[in-house]
Amino acid sequence: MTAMLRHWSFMGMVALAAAAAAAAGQPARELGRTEDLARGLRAALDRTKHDRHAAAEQPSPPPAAARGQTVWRYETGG
Amino acid sequence: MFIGSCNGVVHAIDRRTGQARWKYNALQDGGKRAEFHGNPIVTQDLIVLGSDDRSPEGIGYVYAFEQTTGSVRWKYRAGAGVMADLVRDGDRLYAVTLGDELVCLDLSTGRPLWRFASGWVNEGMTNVAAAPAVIEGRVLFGGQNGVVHALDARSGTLIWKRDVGARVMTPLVPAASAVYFGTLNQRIHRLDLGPDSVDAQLELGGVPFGPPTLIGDSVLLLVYDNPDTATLKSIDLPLKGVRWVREARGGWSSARAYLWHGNALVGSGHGKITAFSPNGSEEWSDTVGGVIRGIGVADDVLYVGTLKGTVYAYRPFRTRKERH
Repeated sequence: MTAMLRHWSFMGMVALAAAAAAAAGQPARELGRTEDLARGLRAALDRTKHDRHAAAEQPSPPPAAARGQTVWRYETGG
Repeated sequence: MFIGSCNGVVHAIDRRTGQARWKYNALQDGGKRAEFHGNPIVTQDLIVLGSDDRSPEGIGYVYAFEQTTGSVRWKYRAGAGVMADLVRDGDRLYAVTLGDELVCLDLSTGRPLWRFASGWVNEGMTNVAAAPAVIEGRVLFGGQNGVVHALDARSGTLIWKRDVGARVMTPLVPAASAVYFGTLNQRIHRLDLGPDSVDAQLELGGVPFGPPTLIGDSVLLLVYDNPDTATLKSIDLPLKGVRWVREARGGWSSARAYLWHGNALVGSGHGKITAFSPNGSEEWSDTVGGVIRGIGVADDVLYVGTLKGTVYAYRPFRTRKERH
C-alpha cells in the first residue's frame, strides 16, 4: 500500500487566507476578528519557522518516547 | 512511498528500508520556490501531484512521474500552482489552481480537457485546500468567491451553483448525497446536491482547516478556535451539534485527521501522535518528536512527517497488552 506524506506550512496558509478575507471587505466585526486571526497565525508561523531553524542546527531527536518499534528515519532536507 | 516536501523535492522511498529510490527537484522548472502540499493521485504506474509557488508571478505545475524511475511523463503548467488535493475520476483528474480555476486533465497525457474559473481574483494566493469532489457525474467545486459550483464532469458545463456565504476553506467531502465542507465564517456545511437543496450549517467557534474526516456517524474537523492552536472537533452528521472536542499541548499540527484501524490519528506541535476512537476516547499516544505535519498509514506502520523534514517510520503498539 502506497503511503503519502506531506509537509504542511498550513498555519501560514490560513494566515494568508484570513488576511485576504480581511482585504476583501467583510462586516466590521468579522473583519476585526479575521485580522486578529491573521496576526496570530502569522505569529504562529514565525514561531514554527524559528523552531525549524533551531532544529536544523541539531541532530534529529530519535523517537525515544515512542513505545512502538522504529523502522527507519529519513531526512527530506526541508 | 512518495513524499512531496516543502523544499520542492519529491522523494520516492523504499518503505521497507527508508532508502531513496529517486528524487525530483521542481525548482529546475523555474520559479523562485516550489512546494508540495496536496494529496496526490496514485495509479498503477504514475504518481501525480501538484506543486505551488505562492506569488502572483509564481510557477506551479501538476506533475505525473513514472513511479519506478521518477521520469516526468507529463507536466501541466497551472499558473502559480495547486495546493489542494488532486481528485481522480476514471481517466481524468481534477485540480483547483491558486487562481481559483478548476481544471480537468487527461490522466494519461496531461492534456487539459476543460477549465472553469470562479472569477475570483486571487491576489492573496489563498486557495489552499478547497479540493473538488466528484459525485454521480458531477464535479462540485467550492470557490473562493463563496459559491459552490456543480459542473458536468465530462464537459465542464455549469449545472447549478449555490452561494454559501463565505469562501470555502476545506475540501468538499461527499457523503450520502451531500457534501461536507468548512467556510471562513467559521461554519461547517452539509450541502445537499441540488440548486434548491438544504444547506445545513453549524457554527464551529473557529476557522476550519483541512478536510472533514468521516468516521462512524460523525465528521471530524481541525478548527482554529484561536489564532495559535487548532482543536479537534467531532460533529454529528446532521450538524446538530459538537459531540466532543480534544485539545493538545501546542495545538494539533497535522494537516488533517487520518483514519487508521477505526481510529482517527492527529499529530501535535509538540510531536505527539494520538489515536482517538469515534467516541473521542484516547486509544493510545506516542511522542515522536518535531512538529507533526503529514501522517502516512500502512497496515501496521505509520510514516510521520515533521516540519523540519524528518520522516519517521514506526510500528506503534496498539493494544493494551502490547503497550504494558
